[in-house]
Amino acid sequence: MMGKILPSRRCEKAREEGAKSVSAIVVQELRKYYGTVKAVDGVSFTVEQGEIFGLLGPNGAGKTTTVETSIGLLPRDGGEVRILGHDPQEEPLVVKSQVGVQLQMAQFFPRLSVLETIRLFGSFYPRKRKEKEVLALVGLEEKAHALVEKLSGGQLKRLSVGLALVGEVDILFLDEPTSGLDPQSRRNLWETILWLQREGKTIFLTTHYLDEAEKLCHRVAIIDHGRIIALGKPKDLIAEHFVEKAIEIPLDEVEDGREFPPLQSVTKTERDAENLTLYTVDLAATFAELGRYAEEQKLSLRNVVVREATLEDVFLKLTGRRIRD
Amino acid sequence: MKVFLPLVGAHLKNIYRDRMSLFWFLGFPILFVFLFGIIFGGMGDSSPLVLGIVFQGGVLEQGGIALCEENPAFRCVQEDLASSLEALKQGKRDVVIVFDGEGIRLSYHPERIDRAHLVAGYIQRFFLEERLRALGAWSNIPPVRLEAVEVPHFRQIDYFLPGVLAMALMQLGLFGSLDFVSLRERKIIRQLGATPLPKRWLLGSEIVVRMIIAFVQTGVIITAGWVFFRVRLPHALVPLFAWILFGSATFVSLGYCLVSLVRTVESAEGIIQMVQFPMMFLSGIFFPPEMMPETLRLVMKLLPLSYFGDALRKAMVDIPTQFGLSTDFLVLLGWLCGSFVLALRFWRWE
Repeated sequence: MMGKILPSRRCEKAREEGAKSVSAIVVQELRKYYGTVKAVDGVSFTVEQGEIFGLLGPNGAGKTTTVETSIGLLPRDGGEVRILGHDPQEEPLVVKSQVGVQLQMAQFFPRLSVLETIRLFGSFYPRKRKEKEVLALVGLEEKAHALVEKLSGGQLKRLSVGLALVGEVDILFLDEPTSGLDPQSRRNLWETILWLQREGKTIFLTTHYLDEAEKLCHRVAIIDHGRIIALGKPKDLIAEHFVEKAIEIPLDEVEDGREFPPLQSVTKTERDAENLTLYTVDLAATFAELGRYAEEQKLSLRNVVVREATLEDVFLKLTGRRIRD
Repeated sequence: MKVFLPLVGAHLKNIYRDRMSLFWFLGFPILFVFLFGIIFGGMGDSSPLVLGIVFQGGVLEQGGIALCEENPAFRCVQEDLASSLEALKQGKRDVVIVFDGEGIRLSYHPERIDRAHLVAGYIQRFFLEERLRALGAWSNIPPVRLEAVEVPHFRQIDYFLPGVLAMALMQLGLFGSLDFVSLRERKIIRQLGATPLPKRWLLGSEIVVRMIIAFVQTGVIITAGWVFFRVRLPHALVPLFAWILFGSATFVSLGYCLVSLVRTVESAEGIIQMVQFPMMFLSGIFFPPEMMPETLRLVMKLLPLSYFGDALRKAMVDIPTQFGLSTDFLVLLGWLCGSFVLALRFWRWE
């Protein structure tokens, strides 16, 4: 009984003190080592209240470790973390009653139904959302009475997101909430996340989908090898690194090893496994020249794509790799 | 409580919906009681002496029939010699009495020599009595009276039933901790760690659920014993409940101790089998220790289940203890504390 009353009172107090003046999440010089492997190596960022913040990076970049050390699920080896002004290691219960967490590869009691699981998790929080609302938010109304062990991978994922929402919490940590979902469920979940943000929640999510980060996040941090290599609004990041547009030429239309002559207005050429990408400040001029060159060399340009630069290009430029290599 | 009860409910539902663990916790002990009860149920019972009576002529037969049939301790079957001897070989007759015209011949099953002597003595006394009466000397002999004394009488099944309960509670304690390993292995504990739920409540609720199952098992086993074999019902419930709580706690603690030494469900199953299997057969919970060879009795004295079974026999059916209740208590307490300390030392949440 004691353990129950105490944190909720402290949490109310924290809510009053905290209101809007504190940043939702402050992470400074966070470090987590596994032996000699530096899983998180000096990560710093701040998430303001009401913001959707994305941590973007390839698998193994340190996203999950950042999430788990930030909420105090793993002890950190260095640095500072404050969640609404509280250190998750010093005051774990205060922090945990203010955050909802969805972990990757989460599992639950296999022989409880979806509704029972939601109800059970709800009982852990000082204040909770209605079960029906949670079911609706993650689109599991029809599965309410199905046993957890009978759920598909995507449904399990949606349940795990739902469980992050059962408490009336201020901050949501979502670790790859949409990986493994079909496109329709992904879009539905985006709607849910945007709805939660309008409700006033702060959302911290990790993803390796660039389009997701661009569509959802107010700001993104790009992480690679445990370090943040870029941080800012998606548009700003793109603008900062590219004034150019990108021309993608599929590699099977270009003979291997062929060096393109320097084309007019092209500032940079990237070659990866699939494409040769030309970045140009003057699309019309480059294209005219490329056309003439292709005609001379009897090259087909049928499958060439022209697009705006994206976060993918930013990642490619900063690391020399694509995010899902 | 607002957190605790839903957790207990969740555990109970999770177990109740798993048909396999339901069978192991409830069906298996009933099956055990039933099978062993049928095998051993009759042993130790006093049954009437069965006599095969064969007439082949002679003057003694008149007295013989009356003599055997009027004795309530005998059940007489009149038949011919061949079928009577066949029945004797099959153990269906204790003694075959043949009146062959020259005298009386008794044939008996070699394992039942005591019964043959009893019958022979009875018959001889009868003829002696006749003779003495004829001589007028009978009235001087003081009469011999038989008087049955009320003593507690234990059948094999009475001994066996508390043993089954002890075994079931031991298995509940040991195998029950596999649930925790599977929660740990499947990272459900990690997931719960991200909520404001304190982890030790999770463990606490698991233990409470185990105690609930322990009492259900007790009820089921005692009922099964009474329904199938009329094993006497325990008269003092408080000491019985106290022993069940205490013994279950010991084996729950031992179970957590064992699984804290290993990582996966598979290795946990292995280490638990390694401990529970010898305990099941060498603890003397199924038969009196007098039936065991000397060396095994030493092993028996090392196993906690021996002492739990001993205490339960006293608490359930009032069979006198073998080690004394205070020894039982102290040994179990030692195991409880020892395994608890080890479990704390090697505990892992993830």
